[in-house]
Amino acid sequence: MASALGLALFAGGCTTLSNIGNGISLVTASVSNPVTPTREAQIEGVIDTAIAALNGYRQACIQGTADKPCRANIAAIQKYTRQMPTLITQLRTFVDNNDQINATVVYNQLLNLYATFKTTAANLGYNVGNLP
Amino acid sequence: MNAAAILALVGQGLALLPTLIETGIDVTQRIEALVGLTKVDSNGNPTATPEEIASVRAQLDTDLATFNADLPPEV
Repeated sequence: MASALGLALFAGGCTTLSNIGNGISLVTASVSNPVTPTREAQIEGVIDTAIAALNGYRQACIQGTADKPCRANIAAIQKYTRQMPTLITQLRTFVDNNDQINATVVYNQLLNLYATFKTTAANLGYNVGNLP
Repeated sequence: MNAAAILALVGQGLALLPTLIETGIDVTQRIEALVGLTKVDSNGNPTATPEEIASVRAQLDTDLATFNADLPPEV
């Protein structure tokens, strides 16, 4: 089982949040597929790339060069991204302590957060593509 | 996670780089971080250092804090 998130923020000369579908791949963790520190960092690195792209959209929104509903779009996305720091902190603690049971639980909670994120984007009218 | 899966994962992250460049974001650090996390030893075990992992964590914390901050009022 896998979920993915990707971002493409440009269309023509105006910054838009136009596609979510190719940027992040999170594979469900399990006892046989543990969350090692490197694996956790890989996921965090890819998430960070997407967040950095979102920050570009956010900056364009502040500067008035993004699409009209950008403030509403960002607020809708923040509903989920604001849940991430707590989960990430917990995940790091569990991984650092090699508590694989709880690390797997929290890792998969992050996965579900992205699934909800995907649904939100679809509800906002954005093409989410064919996610793995 | 095997090497192919790791590379696919990082490749998807790299797919966002054109977008980052267009938005004026310095991508050098992110490229180096992602590449560093794919390195493996002769046995296929990851060789990312604690410093590299800490750097990725810190960068995500910074970027998340930026995105999650309230937008300033419209002018």
